[in-house]
Amino acid sequence: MSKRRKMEKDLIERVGKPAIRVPEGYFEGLGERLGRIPSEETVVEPRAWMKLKPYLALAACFAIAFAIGTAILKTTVSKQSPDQLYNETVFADMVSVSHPDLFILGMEDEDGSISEEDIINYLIDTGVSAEQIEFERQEE
Amino acid sequence: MKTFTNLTDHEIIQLFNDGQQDKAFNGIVASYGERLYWHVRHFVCSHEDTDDLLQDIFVKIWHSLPSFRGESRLYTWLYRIATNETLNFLRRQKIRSALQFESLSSEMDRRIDEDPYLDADALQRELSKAVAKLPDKQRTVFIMRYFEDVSYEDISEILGTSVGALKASYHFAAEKIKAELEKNTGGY
Repeated sequence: MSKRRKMEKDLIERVGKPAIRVPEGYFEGLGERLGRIPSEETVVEPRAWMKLKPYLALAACFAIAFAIGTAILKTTVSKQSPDQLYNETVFADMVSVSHPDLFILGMEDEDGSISEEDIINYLIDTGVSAEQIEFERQEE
Repeated sequence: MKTFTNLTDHEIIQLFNDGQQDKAFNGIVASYGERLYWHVRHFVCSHEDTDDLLQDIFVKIWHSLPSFRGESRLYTWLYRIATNETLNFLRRQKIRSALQFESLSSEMDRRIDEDPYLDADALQRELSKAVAKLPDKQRTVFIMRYFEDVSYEDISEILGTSVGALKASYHFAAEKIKAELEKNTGGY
């Protein structure tokens, strides 16, 4: 006999099995009690809508996600007409990379014309002397 | 005339296939009610819990009966349901004990000591306590072999584990129990 078998056999021989009892008459009533299960546990066939329940839940999740997404976009993106969007795109090409402020200054004159003051300021900025500017004005 | 008590598995399945589900179920209750009681009782160490759990197990059997395809024997199918339900019950108890900052092991020790239906000497009580401390797989194999004399082949079919692995599990379980008995009884 192997050492393993000997140890297992030894356990059974030396310890034995504890005796377990049940209350008086327990097994007599057990069969009757368990036998009532079929009448108490009726199998409920799932209805058509119950079978569709997981799909409906999935569709509802998508609808909620769409509604939330739309609401967020509405609050974060400003309302602009297509014409405004077009003008912004066109103007974006006209903005100078080195002097973007020139574009902003130019937009301040709403009627689109250049005033005499603008020309004088420009000449001063480009280093033309005041005498020269005055001379040119008198020439006109 | 045959009573429900001596119906064979084949006759029970035949009744079920003939559409007599209630009679088939009563046949199962009569043939396996007591056997499954003892099976569960060795795990949970309490008559009251065994009684409640047995009711749940037979409810499960009733609902699962239509899905029984006869691929395994009725006997092993029933034992599989009973074993799984019992282990799930013990896991739930373990979680409940942990939430109450208690250990299931000490709860089991108390149940064994206070069980009025257990006729056991001190060594046998220590054996029951040591069995309750084993991991699920080892405990299942040990209970079925030691207390119920179920063959390794049948346990293999019930648990879906190879006979070799079961023998190893039984050996490790026996070693742990032996060590526990030596520790608690000073060499049994």
